[in-house]
Amino acid sequence: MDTIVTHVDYAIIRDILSAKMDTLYGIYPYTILPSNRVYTCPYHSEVEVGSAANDVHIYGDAVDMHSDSTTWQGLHDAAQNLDVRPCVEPQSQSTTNHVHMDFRTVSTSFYYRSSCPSGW
Amino acid sequence: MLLALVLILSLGPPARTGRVTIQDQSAVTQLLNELQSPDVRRRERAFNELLRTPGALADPVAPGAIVDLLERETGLIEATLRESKGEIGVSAKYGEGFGEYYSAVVDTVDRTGDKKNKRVLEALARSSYNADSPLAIRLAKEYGPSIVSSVLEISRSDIPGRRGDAIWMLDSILLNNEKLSPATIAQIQRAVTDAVADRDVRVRQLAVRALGDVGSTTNIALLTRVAQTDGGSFTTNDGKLRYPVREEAEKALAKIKRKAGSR
Repeated sequence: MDTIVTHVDYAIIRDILSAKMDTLYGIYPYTILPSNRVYTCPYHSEVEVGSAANDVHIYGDAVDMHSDSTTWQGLHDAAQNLDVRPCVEPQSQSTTNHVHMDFRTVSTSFYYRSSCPSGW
Repeated sequence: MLLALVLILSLGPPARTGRVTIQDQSAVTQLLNELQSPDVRRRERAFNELLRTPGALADPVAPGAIVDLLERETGLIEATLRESKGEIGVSAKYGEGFGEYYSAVVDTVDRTGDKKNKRVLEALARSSYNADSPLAIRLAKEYGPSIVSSVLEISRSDIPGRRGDAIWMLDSILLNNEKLSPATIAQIQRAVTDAVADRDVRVRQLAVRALGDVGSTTNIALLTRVAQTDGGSFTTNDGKLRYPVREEAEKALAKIKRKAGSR
């Protein structure tokens, strides 16, 4: 793999992600925009966080939706009731300050996996 | 000559099958030792390398070492939350890749661990998961009565997120397992009822939801009070106040009344 030398000036946001976020805001319209994070460039992920290869955010399939202890569970439940079930990170790993949701199990995902991680 | 050829072929380079050669064995031993490194990145690298090494998981030491690893990483998740007072989780501190690595450890213990071994089952029950995940539902269905005591213990954790997850899991066990004894159900009911008064809003929300499943008409007064007075609230984008615990209490009341009415 070539060395990643700088941040990029673009973002990848896959259609499935933007469509399902729209649905989510429609059915549970408290979410404070913008979300904590949608796209992360490979440079930031690799050099500044140290996890590029396994960071779904560099593939444009993931979002960290802003939340707190009053909204985390409702947002999680609403996400799990979408017609396409996303992978949602457990609260004890993300904390209540965001709900991480991604669509890696959709066959068009650049980070396609046949199932969510265990426990998600 | 033919004999020499047969001998050379039989001693040729080791095939990468499920068998571990002597050379591989020392590498596997080193990787297993690395799983105890104080550096999480080294543990992660060693674990991923173990998964890539054919036959490594068949090493007699491997299953115990990976259960140790799971307990250590669950401890790291809790320590990270405790140190930051719940503000920073492992995904922020160690990157999103930690969650992928951690779930691979959980998955390996789940796949290769002997569930008759109490320690294996407890390590899984105490790990970090969503109670509506396929893993949690399977644990609830297949091992519900055996894991209740571990989950009850977590419901008394000093970390609000862990308490919430445990109450959620107790509810999942109730909903997915029909082999719970009346005494176990009573224990769950007590834990859930106590959690209705928790200082954390998410714990109360999940406790009220669980009370709708395990409770009876004796809980109507409590749930009615919660539905009228719980203070947990947030403001929607259009400026309206919403009370998630009160809303959950309304649903729980409806559920209990429906159950009572159908008897």
